[in-house]
Amino acid sequence: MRPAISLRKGGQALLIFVLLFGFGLGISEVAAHSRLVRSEPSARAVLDTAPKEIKLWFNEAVEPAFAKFWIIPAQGAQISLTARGDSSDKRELIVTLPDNLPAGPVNIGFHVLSVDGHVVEDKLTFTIKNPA
Amino acid sequence: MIDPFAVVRAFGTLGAATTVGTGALVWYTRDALVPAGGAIWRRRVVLAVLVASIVSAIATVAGVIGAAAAAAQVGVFAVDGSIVETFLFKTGVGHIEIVEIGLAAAACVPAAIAWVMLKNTQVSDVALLAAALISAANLATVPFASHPVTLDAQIAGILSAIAHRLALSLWLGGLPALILLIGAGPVPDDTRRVAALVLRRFSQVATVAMGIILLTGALLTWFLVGNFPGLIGTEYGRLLILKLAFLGGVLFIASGLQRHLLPLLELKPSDPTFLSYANRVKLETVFAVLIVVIASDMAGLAPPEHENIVWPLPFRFSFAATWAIPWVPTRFIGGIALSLAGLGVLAISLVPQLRPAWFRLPKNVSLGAGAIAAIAGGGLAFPAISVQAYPDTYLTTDIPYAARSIAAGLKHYEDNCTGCHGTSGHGDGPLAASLPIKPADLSAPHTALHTAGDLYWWVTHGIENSPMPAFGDTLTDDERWDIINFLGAYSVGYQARIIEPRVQPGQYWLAPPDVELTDENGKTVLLTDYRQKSAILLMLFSCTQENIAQETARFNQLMAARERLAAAGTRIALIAPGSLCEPLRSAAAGKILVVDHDIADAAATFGLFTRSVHNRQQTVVRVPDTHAEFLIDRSGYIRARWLPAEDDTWSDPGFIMAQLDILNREPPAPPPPGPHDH
Repeated sequence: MRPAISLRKGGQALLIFVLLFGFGLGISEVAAHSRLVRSEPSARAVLDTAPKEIKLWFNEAVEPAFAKFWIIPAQGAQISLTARGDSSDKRELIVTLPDNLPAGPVNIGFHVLSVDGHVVEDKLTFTIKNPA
Repeated sequence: MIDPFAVVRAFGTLGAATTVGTGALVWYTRDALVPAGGAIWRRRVVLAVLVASIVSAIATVAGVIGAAAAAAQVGVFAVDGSIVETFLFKTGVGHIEIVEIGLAAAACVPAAIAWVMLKNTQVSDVALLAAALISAANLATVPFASHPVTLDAQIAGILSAIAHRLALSLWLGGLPALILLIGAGPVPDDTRRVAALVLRRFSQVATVAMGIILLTGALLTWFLVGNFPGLIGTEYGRLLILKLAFLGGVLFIASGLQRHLLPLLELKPSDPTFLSYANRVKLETVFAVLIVVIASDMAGLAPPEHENIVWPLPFRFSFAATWAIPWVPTRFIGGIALSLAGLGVLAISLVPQLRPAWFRLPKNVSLGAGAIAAIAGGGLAFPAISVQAYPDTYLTTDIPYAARSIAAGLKHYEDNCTGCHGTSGHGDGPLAASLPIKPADLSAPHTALHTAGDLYWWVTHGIENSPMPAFGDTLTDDERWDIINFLGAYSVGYQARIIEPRVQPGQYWLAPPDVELTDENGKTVLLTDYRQKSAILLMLFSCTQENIAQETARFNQLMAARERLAAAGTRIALIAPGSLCEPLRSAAAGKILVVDHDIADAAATFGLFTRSVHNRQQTVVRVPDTHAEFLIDRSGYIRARWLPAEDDTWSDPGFIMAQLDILNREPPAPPPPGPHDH
C-alpha cells in the first residue's frame, strides 16, 4: 500500500508544480512575427505618385475570405479597404486603394488568416511624394 | 496563459483518441473477454466510447466556432451563422473542419450501435471498431489544417503528424479503458485473469506506439523548431520541452509497469498489485491529458520559424567565435577528455561487470575521483567556448538586406555614430581619443563573432561598462535594423576588396544586397528573383560632365553585346544615378533590368562594394561614386568585378564572355545564406 500512497502525493505535487509552471509560461507575451514577405509597393518605399492597388505576398497561402485591410490615418477613423485573392498565386492578395490618397506617409493595417489556421496581424507603410 | 480554445480543441482530440485507443484495445482482446469479468468491462468501455465520441463531436463544433471567431476577429459570442458559413465554405481550413465535424459526428453512430447491441458481442465489436476507425480518420484530418501544411517538407510533415497522432491515440487513448478495468474499485476474482491478459496486450500495443511517437516526434521537432535557440527561446519551444517532460514521465511509469508490475501481476494477481498498477495508470492518464492540452495549445501558436526568439541565458556556446583564440581548442578537447575519463571511472565504479581486474580503488574513492574529474573537465571545456549572449542574440528582422535599408542605415550611421566610430568607420572619430575604451573598428570582419541580434542589442541598449550609448529611445526599431544591415554590407564590402575581374572557380562567398529593379515588361522585380534563373551583369554608372561620353560609349557597347550575353544565360542590370545618367536609363528602359526608383540608395549601397586592394577608400564609410561592374552568378554570388579605374580587362566584351564560360561550367552552388546567418 505504501508506495501507492506516496506516489499519489508525489503526483499531486507534480501536478500543482506543472500547472503553476504552465501558466507561468504563458506570461511572456510573444509578439506576432510578420509573415509578409514582399509587397508592391514595398515596405517604406517612397513613391512619386499614389498607387492604385497594393499587392502583397505572404510566406504561406492565405484566405482572401478573412483578409481585412484598412488605412490608419494620422487622425480620424480607420478606412476599410477591400482585398481579393489571386487565382494563380494563393500567397498573394491584392488590395484596392482609394484614389484620393494625400501626399505623405500611408499606413496600411492588415489582418489575414493563413492556411494553417493562424491569424497574422501587421502593418505596411509607404510614402507618397505627390498626391494623385 | 493557456488559450481556453486549446482546452476545447484538446477535448476534441481526447474524445477521438479515447475512441481510437479503447475501441482498438477491445477489438484486439475480444477473444479473451468471454468470462463474466470480461462482459462487465466491455459494458463499461462501450459506454465510455459512446460518451467520448459525443464529447469529441461537441468539442469539434465548439472549436470550429472558436476558430471562426478568431479568423473574423470577433468575440466567441458575437459569432453568427454567416461568419461560420464563410469560414467553413470559403476557406481551406474550413473545408478540413467540415470533414472533421462530419467524421466526429459519424463516429457517434457506430458507438451508439455498439452500446445498443451490447448483447450481441459480434455486432457490438464490429461497431466499436468502426467508431475507432472513423475517429482515427478524424484525427488524421487535423494535420491538413495545421502547421505541417506550411512546411517545405509538406508531405513528410503531414505523414509524420498523422502517424504521431494515431500512435499517441492507440497508447494514451487506451488508458481510460485500463482504469475502467482495474481502477474502478477492487478487481473481482473473475476479472483477474482477463485483466492480466488485457494489460499484457495493451503493453504490446503501447511498445510499438511508443517507438512511432518518438520517431515522428523527433521528425516534427526538426521540421517545426529546427534549432536549439528556437527550442528554449520561444513559447512554442518551451511548451514542447514541457510536453517532452510529461512524455518522459509517462515513459518512466510505463516502463516500470512493463518490467516489474506486469510480470508480478501475471504471477500473482493480488489486490495491492492491482491497486498499485491502477494508481500508476491514473497518473499516466493525467500526464496524457496534459500532453494533449499542451499539444493543442502549441497548435494555436506560431512555430519558432515565425516567432521572435528571446534567448534566456547570459551566454551561448560558439565554436566559430572562440576556436581561433589561443588555448581554446586545447582547453576544450582536454576538458572533454578529462570529463569522459571521469565518467568512465564513475561507470566502472558503479557497474561491477565493467570493472577490470586491476582496478582496486575503494568505491568511495573512485566515485569521488570520477565525479571530480567529470565536473572539472566540463568546467574547463565549456567556459572556453562560451561567449556572452543577450536576450536578442537570436533575434532577426523581416527588413530585407536590401539597398533601401542599407542606404538608410548608412545615413543613420553618418547622423549618429561618426563622433566615436569616425567617418571612416575605423573607430577613430573626434571623440575617440578621449574615451577610456577605443570604439570598435566596424570594418573588421565581425560577423563570425557577433550575431545580428547581438549588434541590435548593443545599438538598442548600449554596451555595459563602455562608452557605447543606447539608441533605443532615439532611433526606431526599423532604423536600428537599417544600421545593422548597413554594418553587414560595410564590413563585407571591406572583405570584397579582393574580388577581381577574373572569376576564381569555386570561390563563392559574397552575396550582393537585394535591390528592386524594373524588368523589360515594366514589372517590379527583385535582384534575388533571378537566383537559379540567370546570371546578372550589374552595371553601376557614375555620370559627370567629364566622363559622360565615356559612360555612354560603355553603355552602348554592353547594350550591343546583350544578345551574346543572353545566349550565355546572362541579363544586364543598370544602376545609373543622377540627372546626367538619365539618357542611359531611358535608353535601357524596356530592354534590360533598370533600377528606376531610389536609384541613389542603390548606388550608395553597391558603392560599399567598390573598395579594392589598391584603393581601400579607408578614410570614408560612404565611398565616392565610381563606375563598377559586377558579375553575379546564377546561384546569386558576386564572382567577379571590374573597376575601370584599375585595369581595362572588361573593355573587351570577349573577356566577360570568357568569365561566363567558367561560371557556366560550374555546378550550382548552395543559395547564399542570409547576411547574418551563422
